[in-house]
Amino acid sequence: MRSLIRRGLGPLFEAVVSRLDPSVDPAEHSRFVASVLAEGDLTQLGWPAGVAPLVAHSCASIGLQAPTWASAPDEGVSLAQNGPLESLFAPATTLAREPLAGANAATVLPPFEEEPQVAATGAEEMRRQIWSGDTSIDEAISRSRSLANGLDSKRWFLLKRGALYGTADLLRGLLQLCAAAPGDTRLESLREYARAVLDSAIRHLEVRREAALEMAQASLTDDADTDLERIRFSLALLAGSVVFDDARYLNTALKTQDWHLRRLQNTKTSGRDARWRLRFLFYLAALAQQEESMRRAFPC
Amino acid sequence: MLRVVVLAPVDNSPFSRVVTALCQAEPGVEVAGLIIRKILNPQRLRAELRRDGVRLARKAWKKLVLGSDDGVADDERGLNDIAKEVGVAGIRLSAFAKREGIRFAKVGDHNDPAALAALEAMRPDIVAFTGGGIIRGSLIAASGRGILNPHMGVLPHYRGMDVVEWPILEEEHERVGVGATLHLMDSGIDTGPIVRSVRVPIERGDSIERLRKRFEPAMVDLILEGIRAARDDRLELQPQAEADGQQYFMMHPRLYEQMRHRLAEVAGAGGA
Repeated sequence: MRSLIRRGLGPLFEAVVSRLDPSVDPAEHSRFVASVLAEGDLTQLGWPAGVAPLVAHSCASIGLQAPTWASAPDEGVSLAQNGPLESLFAPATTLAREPLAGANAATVLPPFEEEPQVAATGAEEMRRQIWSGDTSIDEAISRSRSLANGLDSKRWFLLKRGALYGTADLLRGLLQLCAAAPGDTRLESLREYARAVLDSAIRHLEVRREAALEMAQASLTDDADTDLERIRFSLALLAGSVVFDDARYLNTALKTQDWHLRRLQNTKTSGRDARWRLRFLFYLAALAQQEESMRRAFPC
Repeated sequence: MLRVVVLAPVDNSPFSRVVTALCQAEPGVEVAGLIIRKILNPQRLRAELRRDGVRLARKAWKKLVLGSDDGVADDERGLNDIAKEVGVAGIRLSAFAKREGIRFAKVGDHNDPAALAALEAMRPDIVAFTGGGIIRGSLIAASGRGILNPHMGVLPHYRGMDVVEWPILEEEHERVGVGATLHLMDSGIDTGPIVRSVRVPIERGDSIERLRKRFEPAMVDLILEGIRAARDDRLELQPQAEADGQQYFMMHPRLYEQMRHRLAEVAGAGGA
């Protein structure tokens, strides 16, 4: 009887389940990624046709260089061929060995919990400096230590309170530093710190799932800000999977990316909304980074 | 006489049935009670729906419609075969308990106060966990010598979920191995002291379904060995340090696909 049910209704049941949630089907998941990244089908994200110039404008508004495909007049251009958005977020391959004149390595930032806005700005600035190669390893280590000392690794993700806004950039900065100077022994404690934070991040995300990463600060409850910070955490997990060669971080990042996509597709807003455009841009960057991490983890 | 209480995930769990029947047949062991989770518990269903999404439908399909007869690796000896051998095929756990005169309680969740009250009334020397979520400290404290948990992974390395699959994906199936570990529960996730472990080797032509099916008799043997060791006062516990292993979570379908490729390579080359 059971064998009859299995053979008769099994395929129908599988088809219905895959239809309800395409992310459970690996082939469907890969097809979606290919259609967005390689074929440039942005309508898959709920983005109407003819919007590449808006992406270019979004990039300009936050001081980033637009990706080639966004400024290209031809809408059918492949994102993969023209350099995916990951180039906007890639870490510098080398850091300056000497401090730049005028840079202030001794700046001590306040801890996140006391001055979250200031610390978040400091973290973002640190990350940008490391990314662009505008800082020395000494400075980057000093700034990172200063920020990390203000936040115990056990206090990053609190199940009830959520996460502290701005910490995603601190984590990404630390990981960029680890990637840029892999053999530097002075980074050992920061590596351990980053790993402890990544471990608690995946625990937090896997337990809270789509309700994860609510921002702890009452003043930062805007949906767009929260979504952007969530995507920054995705980018951090993806970077962590490469830096530490750990597929557990990639695993959780893949799931969080599925949740971001669902949220993005369900957001009812105008394509001209600047924050929505930013969310879209960050999601695309994270999607490109996700595929790069997959390629590195599974080259064949 | 060693008094054993069995914690069961649902009334039709074949693993719980087999373990209960074999414990009952074991000299010097008495099944002092069964604590069975009810299938319909809105709070638990909500939490599982949030965690698993539509995968919950797949799980329910497998557990409630197919049972362990899911049509894979029919040539491997699985729980249904063992259930037939010990005479508990096709019977609900509660019906088996009534037939054998074993006390049982149906609870919404193992962490409910009702479960704790039932366990205290059953006065166990030891508890056998055959599934049903994460167990809280109060139940552990009332379990006598502890709660024996057969974990489908090699501890201390692989804690958490999908830990048959993770060593294959991470290409650790040779160094660490694929296998199961019996341990006593503590407040962490699979961090309690280890009783014993067993390797389940990958064989030529294995699929993940076939490999998982081979775990079924191994898990039964493992928990029975633990019960016998407790009865004979020879439980040797090997503590784990938290840093000795990592926690793993449910594998994303795309990584699962990669794992299948890797397993096909290993099994095609003759296994490990």
